[in-house]
Amino acid sequence: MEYLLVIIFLLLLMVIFCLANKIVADRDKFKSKLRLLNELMNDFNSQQQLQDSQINISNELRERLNQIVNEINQDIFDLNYQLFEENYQKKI
Amino acid sequence: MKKFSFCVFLFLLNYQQYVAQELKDVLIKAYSSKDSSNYYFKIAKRKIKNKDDEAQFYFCKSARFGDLNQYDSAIVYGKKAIRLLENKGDLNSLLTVYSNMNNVYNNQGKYDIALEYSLKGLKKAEKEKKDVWISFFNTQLSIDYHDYESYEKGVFFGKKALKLLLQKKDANVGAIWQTLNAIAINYDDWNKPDSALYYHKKVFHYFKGKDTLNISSTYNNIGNTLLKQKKYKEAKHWLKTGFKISEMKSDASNDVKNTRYFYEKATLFTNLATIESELNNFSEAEKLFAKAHDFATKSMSAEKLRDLYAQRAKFFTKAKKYKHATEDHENYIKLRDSVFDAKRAKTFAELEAKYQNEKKEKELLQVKAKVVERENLIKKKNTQFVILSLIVAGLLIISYLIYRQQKLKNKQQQQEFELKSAIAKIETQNKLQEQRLQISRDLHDNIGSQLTFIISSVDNIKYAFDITNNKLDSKLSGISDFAKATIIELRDTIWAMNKSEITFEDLQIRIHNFIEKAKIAKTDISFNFTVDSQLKECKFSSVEGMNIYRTIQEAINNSMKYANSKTISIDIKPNQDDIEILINDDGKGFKMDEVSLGNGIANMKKRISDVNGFFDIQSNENQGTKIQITIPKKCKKA
Repeated sequence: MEYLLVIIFLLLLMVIFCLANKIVADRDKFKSKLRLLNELMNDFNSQQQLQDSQINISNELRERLNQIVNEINQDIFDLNYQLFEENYQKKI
Repeated sequence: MKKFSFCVFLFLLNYQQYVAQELKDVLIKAYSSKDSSNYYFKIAKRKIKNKDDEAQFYFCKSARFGDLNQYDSAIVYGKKAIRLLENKGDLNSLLTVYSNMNNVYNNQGKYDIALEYSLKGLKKAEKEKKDVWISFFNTQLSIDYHDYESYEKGVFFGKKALKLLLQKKDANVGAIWQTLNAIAINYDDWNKPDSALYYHKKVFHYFKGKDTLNISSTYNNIGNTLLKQKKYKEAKHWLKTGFKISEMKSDASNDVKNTRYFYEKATLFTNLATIESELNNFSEAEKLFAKAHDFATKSMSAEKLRDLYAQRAKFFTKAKKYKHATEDHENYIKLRDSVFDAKRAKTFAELEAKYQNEKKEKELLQVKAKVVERENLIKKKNTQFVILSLIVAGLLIISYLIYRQQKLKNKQQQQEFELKSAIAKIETQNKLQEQRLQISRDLHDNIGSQLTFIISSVDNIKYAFDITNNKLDSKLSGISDFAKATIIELRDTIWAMNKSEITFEDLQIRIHNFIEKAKIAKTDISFNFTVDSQLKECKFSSVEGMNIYRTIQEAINNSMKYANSKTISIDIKPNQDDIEILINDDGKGFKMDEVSLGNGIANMKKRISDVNGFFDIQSNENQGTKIQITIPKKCKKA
């Protein structure tokens, strides 16, 4: 009876040891998995930051281009006006 | 003598069990043969192969000599058998020899030695836990004490034996009869005839009808008891019935007339003679006493002779034959003294005391053993309890660990799911932004080609038509220059957009290119551009790089356009944890409190504040303008 109990107890100890080991191994595995995911996320974040900055620049450029288009429009209007004025004087 | 029948039964039983078949057959013949006993014993001796065979040989020989009343030989062979059997021999044989030795010494009137063998047998039987033998030896002791006239003890051992026998459901009837007889004869001689008759008559519960032929001695004993109660007629009836049964049995079996037979006859005739004496039939009594004397002598029983002499002495006294009375009395005294001398009485007492002591010691040891056993049991139970507690604790720990692992797993799964969802979301956003950027790039490329088309169209107009109008020519040149400047600006922006990060070296080259173009545009202005070599390793994001570049570009453009300066110097150097950019010109300057600063300066301030920097402009009339930009140093090792 006693021997049986001792054997059961030792088996339980082994089970506890195995479970504890499994928990530690699972935790480590999860940590490494999590680290990889975090790294991936950081990569995506930095990529997003880069894209954000590029989009900012692009937006800024768009505004600038709007100004440029306005200026060119004005210049072309002035040029046309000048040409019109000159042709009108020639006809007179 | 009554004991012999039981001994022989055990002896034969013993044979069947333990002696080798061949030797056994010869020994049975030797034991049961009337005339050829010695011949068979010689054959048996030749067949002895080992110590066990030898022990059985001596055991049989001792029993045979005992039956033939050759007590000395029986004792010699009995002792040899005991010596061999005590050394890991057959237990039943050993106990039978003890019983036979008791019998032989009893017949010799050596009750102390007889008692010793009974006690030895009892101790051995108790040690081996043989219940049948324990009751048997208690009966033997009862008879021994009776013969020694210690009736109280005789009754004690007899009752003990009877109790043991009655506890067994399959108890041997012969053994019960022996025991009841032993108790009864003790009560009888203890002058308690009622008790004696009670136990004698109890025998008839077990023996009925034809079976009573085997218990003739009980009839004799009842007659003897009634005689003591002076119920002579009744006693005579019982004695004569016993006599008839004994004769019938003797005739039927055609047995050898051995000591047992003579012993019973001696008892019967002594009792009958005593009755006749009491009834004053002296001549009849004398005849019967003579017969009794003959049988008692043949029985070789000291006890029987003793009883006879005692009764006959009384008879002769009553018959006034004093000479014979004196002789018988002397014989009685002689026999009694031989049996009951002081030394023997002492030995008897010592033997009993020794037995009792050993028994008590044994009981004490048993009690101690029980205590130790109980302690061990308690220890065992305690140990079991501790181990069980540990097992329960272990199970609890396992349950907790499983619960914890499951909980952890759920938590991990949730975290993983959240993280993956976030990653998926970011990835989708990234893809979306990438698409937007791609569209922007396509748009910029398209705008660039359109601007190039405008420039080439304007230049073609200028060269194809002879434009004399200066104003018109200037307008066309303005549009062309503006488009060219826009292309440059577009290229700068695309350059910044396509870079994930901008090193200070890239920035320096870009600024240098811009200055070179400015030099071409304004040949009268001299430019000084210096950058500290420590800053080469510094890096900026594309937005930061673009903001810094645009700010410097704006500052130089302002100096070129409005300051009317001759020298513009750009100096970039580290200042502790910052980068300091100084843009100075020696132009006309302006009064800070009088001039409202335009969009250009506001844009510069905004750009610098976007990169967490500090922008400062200082100017005085005719003293030039000084712009100081401080931005945090983000130098990374390449």
